[in-house]
Amino acid sequence: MKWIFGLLLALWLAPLWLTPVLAQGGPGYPCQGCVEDRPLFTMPSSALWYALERPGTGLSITVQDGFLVGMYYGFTPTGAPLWYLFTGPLEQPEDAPSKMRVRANLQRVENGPCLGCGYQAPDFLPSPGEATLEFDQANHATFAIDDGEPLTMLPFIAGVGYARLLPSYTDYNFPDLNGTWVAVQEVPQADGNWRYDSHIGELRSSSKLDRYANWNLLESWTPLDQYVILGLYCAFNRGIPGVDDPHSHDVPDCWLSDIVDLPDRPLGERLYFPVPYANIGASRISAVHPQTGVRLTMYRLEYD
Amino acid sequence: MNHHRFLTRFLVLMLLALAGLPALLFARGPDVPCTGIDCEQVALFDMPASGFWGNPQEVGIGIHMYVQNEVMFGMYYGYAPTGAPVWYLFTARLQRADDSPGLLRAEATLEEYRNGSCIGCAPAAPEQAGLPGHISLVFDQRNHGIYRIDGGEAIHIVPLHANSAVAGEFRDTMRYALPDPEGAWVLTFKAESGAGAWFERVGSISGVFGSREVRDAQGGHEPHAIDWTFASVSSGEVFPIGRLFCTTYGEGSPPSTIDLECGLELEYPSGMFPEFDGGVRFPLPYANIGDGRIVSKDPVSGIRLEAFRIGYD
Repeated sequence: MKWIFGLLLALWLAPLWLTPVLAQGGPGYPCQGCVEDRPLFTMPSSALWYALERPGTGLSITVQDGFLVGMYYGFTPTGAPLWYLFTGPLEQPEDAPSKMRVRANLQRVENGPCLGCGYQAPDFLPSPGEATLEFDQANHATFAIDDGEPLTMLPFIAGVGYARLLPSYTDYNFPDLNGTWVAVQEVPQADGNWRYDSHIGELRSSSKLDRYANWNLLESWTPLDQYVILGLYCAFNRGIPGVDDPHSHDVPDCWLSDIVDLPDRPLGERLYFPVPYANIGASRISAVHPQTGVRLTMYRLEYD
Repeated sequence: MNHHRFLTRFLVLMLLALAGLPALLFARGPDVPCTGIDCEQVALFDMPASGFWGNPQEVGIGIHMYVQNEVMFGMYYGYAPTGAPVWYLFTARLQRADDSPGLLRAEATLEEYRNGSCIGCAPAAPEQAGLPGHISLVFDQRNHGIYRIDGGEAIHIVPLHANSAVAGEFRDTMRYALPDPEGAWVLTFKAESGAGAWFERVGSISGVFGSREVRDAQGGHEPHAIDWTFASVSSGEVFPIGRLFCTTYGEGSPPSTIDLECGLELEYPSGMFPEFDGGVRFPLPYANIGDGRIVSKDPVSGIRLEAFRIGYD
């Protein structure tokens, strides 16, 4: 028990001594597989996020149907703790359509009740500035106040282990994905509606190398009748039939592979969804198929 | 998404919260009754909802709780005795007591940090400046709990639903803004295959909750009820396979003569779960119905339900 919390606190404080290392040539958090005209995720992760370059500073983020409620936590110039509230809709900016952005005034609230005291309504004071929070992947963002330097934001992973699976190509910590997941396909229809399909199983890691990682969703009808339809893998060019790999031959890409029933197409067509590294989260894995607009989201059961 | 719709809903929710201030005379926070089942003894949820929690009658104080795999990592946002804003970090593991297995409990020490980086300043490592108190939390439903600071007064808390339509028919008695589930969901199921069996069955079905239907009580002889039909789509055909409902009897609504009862009924052919052929009724304490998740367990079949609102969070 204590080691988990110790690990969390270490992570919370870690960025200070990690920063110089990362600044000296770490691969950072490239949006590998991203396309220019749309984000490849539906919603960013609701979580406690930390600023990579500012230990002890971060954001509490809750997203509900495209609306974000955020709390910035940090410190004043004298070192006292500080928080600001901000809320706003997530928008796809015209100048960066591959991202999701919230721009909102910070709300400064003071003179409320102290810990354990009787309630008194706080004062809402003039805004100290405008926050801009921009997500390029579901689990990677930048945060800036007014024209200040953008900070790199990443969510904490508290419930499972994690590892830098592709350390030469990304600093992203891939969470341990082993567990029960349901995969949901949102398929656009000709009439403008959506059709929803799902399948469920145990996601199991089958191999991990420095340049390759692979997971399969093991489904079953009976203990003796198990099969795999959905796979997630990170690898160098896989030579997917009929799919132009839009990325460099020098960098591994992650893909979700699943069978989808598309309207006016033969039943059961296999689609390959590009998955930017930081779309692979501890409780959600999200992807969009650029050619068809099919959204594929995986939800982890009994986790959050 | 319509920017103004979001802001309007959020502001309306805030105003509703302020309108609830007179209730402070009776209790601190929304005491959401656990109806339809003994929540203290029957474990129907695995963890509380992650997100911002608070007492809607006490704006300006928030607890951000994020739960992953029974580990809770949270922030308490409040004020110093001087009125300055302050935040405290806490971590805890959720546990069940033997005498009340339906409740989830967490105990944690609040940790205060100082001397970290200010906005625009050079990086600086924060220092732990003290342990200002102890927080205890108890959850009887996924979206309702009680917290105490240093064993003091109990304060009821619920998650902040900033962007969810609300079914307000039972608002006065239940004191929880019931999120309207209309829209796309995926329902997932888990169960042991049988007594002593090692094989765990899992299944899922996706579909759409339709719009809310309201039936008013008529002289106390008919139930006052709201329900939503759940339908799946296959080969272009829509198949109603169940409904989510909340029902009470009485002279209008409220007061009622019996407790409110909510549930999710499902009946459809399923190879993995033949129980659904004859229909399964999942009991739903009111505050187990969340904006992004609905959870329950059928005490008869042992099937666990975890439903996710698609594309919501």
